[in-house]
Amino acid sequence: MDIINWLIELFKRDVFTAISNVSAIAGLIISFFVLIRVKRIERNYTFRIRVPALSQGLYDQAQRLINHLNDYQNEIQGIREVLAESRVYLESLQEKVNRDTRKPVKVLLNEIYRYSESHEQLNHLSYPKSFLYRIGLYHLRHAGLEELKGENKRDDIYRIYLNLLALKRKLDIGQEDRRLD
Amino acid sequence: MAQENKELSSSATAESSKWLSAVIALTKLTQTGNLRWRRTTPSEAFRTLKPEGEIESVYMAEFKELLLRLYEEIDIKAYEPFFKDSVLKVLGGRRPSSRIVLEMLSHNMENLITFPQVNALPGLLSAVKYQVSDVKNVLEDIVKEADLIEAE
Repeated sequence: MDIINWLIELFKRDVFTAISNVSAIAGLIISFFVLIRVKRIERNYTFRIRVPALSQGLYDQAQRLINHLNDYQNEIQGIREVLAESRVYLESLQEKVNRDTRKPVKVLLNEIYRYSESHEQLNHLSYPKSFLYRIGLYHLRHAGLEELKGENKRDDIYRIYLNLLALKRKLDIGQEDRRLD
Repeated sequence: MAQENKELSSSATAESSKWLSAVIALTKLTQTGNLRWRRTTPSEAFRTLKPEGEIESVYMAEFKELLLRLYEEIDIKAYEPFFKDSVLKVLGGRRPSSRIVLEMLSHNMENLITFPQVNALPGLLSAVKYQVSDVKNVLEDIVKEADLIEAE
């Protein structure tokens, strides 16, 4: 009721000013909805264009990972390389997926950060260590990187493999859903 | 509609993740040597059950009281186009489609369960092939032989 009284007051004062005021407010509201819609279309577009390739890339990394696990003790360097490449795919994917899918991507990234050098780790370095890192006197590998040797570490790699495949499946289902939308 | 799809998707994901975990557990047992596989040639009776498929090798393993059978079935009749969802599909050639099948059998070879098509099956097949063909020792032998030849 207050809004209606307010509108009547406006019209009483000056009709043209009132119309322009109402139009400006309506325009603002419409622009806001258009902005949200455009953002949504942009996200859908990016998802449909980029996510299939990233998802396939992750699946390829998962296949490489399981092949390295055939000879675990001698393939640790190969496993590290696969994890580093998977990290790049996941970081790119994180920006393109919706909130539902972002959570498993983050979980997977946190698991992978434990075994590969990353910008995330650099950001978490406190001042003297970050300075020493820049001048080459401090290495992340010694600071927080976990060694891959040992049976429980092998189990971790199997868990990463499982999560990579589960994420691939989730992305495939997400793509099907968006096609229906 | 979208909400319904989401619910269906999440229950499908939960269901498929159980099978996925099971296949990965079998892969791990294979790679750690706790599950031993052997290669067998498919019997005539088995071939007649799969008239439209071409099966090169069948791998068998004993797991507790049961038998596991793993094979790749190449469907030579149902070809997939090279270019899916594209106008180019009329121009390109076609390739045979294939699927990896994992079955659980009783001791009198009765099929109890056929695993659904989860994306961990190629990894299991590759691990089984690696174990059966003894790739690790073959590679070591090649390196040793090459070293011996060089030393001479």
